[in-house]
Amino acid sequence: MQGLLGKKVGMTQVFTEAGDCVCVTVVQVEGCVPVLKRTQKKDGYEALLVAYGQRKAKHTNKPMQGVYSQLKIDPAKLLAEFRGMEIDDEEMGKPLSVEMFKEGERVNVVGVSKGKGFAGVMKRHGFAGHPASRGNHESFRGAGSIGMATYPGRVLKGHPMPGRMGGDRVYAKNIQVVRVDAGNNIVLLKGSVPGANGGIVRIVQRAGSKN
Amino acid sequence: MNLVDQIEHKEMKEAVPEVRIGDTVRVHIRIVEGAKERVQVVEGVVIKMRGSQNRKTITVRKISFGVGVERIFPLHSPRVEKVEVTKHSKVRRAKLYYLRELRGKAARLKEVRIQSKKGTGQSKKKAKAAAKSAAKRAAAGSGEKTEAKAEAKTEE
Repeated sequence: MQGLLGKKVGMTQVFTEAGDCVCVTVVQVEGCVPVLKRTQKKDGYEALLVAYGQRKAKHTNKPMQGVYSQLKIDPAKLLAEFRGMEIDDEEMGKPLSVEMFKEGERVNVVGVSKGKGFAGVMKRHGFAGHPASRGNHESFRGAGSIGMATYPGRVLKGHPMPGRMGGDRVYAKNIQVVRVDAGNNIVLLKGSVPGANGGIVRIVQRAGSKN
Repeated sequence: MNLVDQIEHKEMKEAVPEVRIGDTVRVHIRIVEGAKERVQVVEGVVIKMRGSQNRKTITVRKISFGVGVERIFPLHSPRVEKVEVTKHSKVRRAKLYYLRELRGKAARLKEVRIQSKKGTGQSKKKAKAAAKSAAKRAAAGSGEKTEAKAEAKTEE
C-alpha cells in the first residue's frame, strides 16, 4: 500500500475533458522523504517511516539526528509510518513523488478536522432541538431528556452531550484523484478533505483497490 | 501568486471576450447527444456575473416562446465554444433582476456604444482567434457544421 504526506493548500474547481466542472482540493507534497524501514526482525512489524517538512537540528532528538545524517538530509518536522509500503534501498532519503497516484484512482485521506470549540448537541450530535413556537419557552437548542426515572436512576454511559468538537483524526474514504501534477508535486482530489488549509493530510492507496 | 491561483490560471481559456452586465450576447455551446455533437446558440441579456478567474459565470436571460429562460454559463468551460457580444446597453446596477418582472417593450435596455481602446482591440484579436479555431473545427467535420447552422436558426 503506497502513501504519502501532503499539505492541504485550498479548494478550487477545474474542468474535465468532457467539460464537467469538478470541485477539487489542492494537496501539495513538499519534501516527503522515506527515512527508515521498520522490519519484522527488529521492530516486529513491516512499515516505512516517512518524514515531512523541516525542523531545526537542535529540536531533533539524537536517534533521529543519526538517521538524518546517515541519509544526508535535513531534520523533518513530522514523522509517519506507512504499513506495508515497500521501497528500494536506493530510494531512501529521496522525496516521494505524487506519481504513485493515477488520475481517476480512488484513495483514502486522513486529516485532523477543524476545531469547533465547545459545541452543543445540535451541532455535535445532530440533535433536532426544540420548536421555535407553539408555546416553547427559553429552550431552543437543548438536548431534551437524557434518560429514564428511578430505574436506572442514572445517565447511561456514552450518552451524547455537549462538549469539545473537532480537532479529531478523520478518515475520509474513497476520494477520487482528479489530476496529478508530478512537476509541481501536486494532486487534485475531488471534493473536500478533512482539516484546515495548511494542515497536513495523509493520502493512501486503497487496499485491494481495483484501479 | 499562491498555488490555487496558479491552478486557476492554467484552467482559464486564452480568449474570452470582455462581457459586461446588460450586454446582449450569443453563447455558442457544444451539446453532446450520444455520439453526435452539435453547437447551439443562446442569445440573450447578461443579467448577472459572478466569480473570478476560471470560476467566472454569466447568467443569460432570454424570452423563449413567451417564457423567460435564464441559463448560467461558466465562461471558461470547454462546453462554451464562443461568446459573441452583439450589443452593449446602459445599465445602472450590477444585477439586472428587475428584468424578470418586465415584459416586452418595458424589458428593453438602452444601447450604448463603448469605445475603449483596450477593450475593443483585445476583443477583436480574441474574436479572430476564436473564429480561427471555429473554422478549424468546422473543417474537421463539415457535415456537422450545416447541422449546427440549422440548429442555430431554430433556436432563434
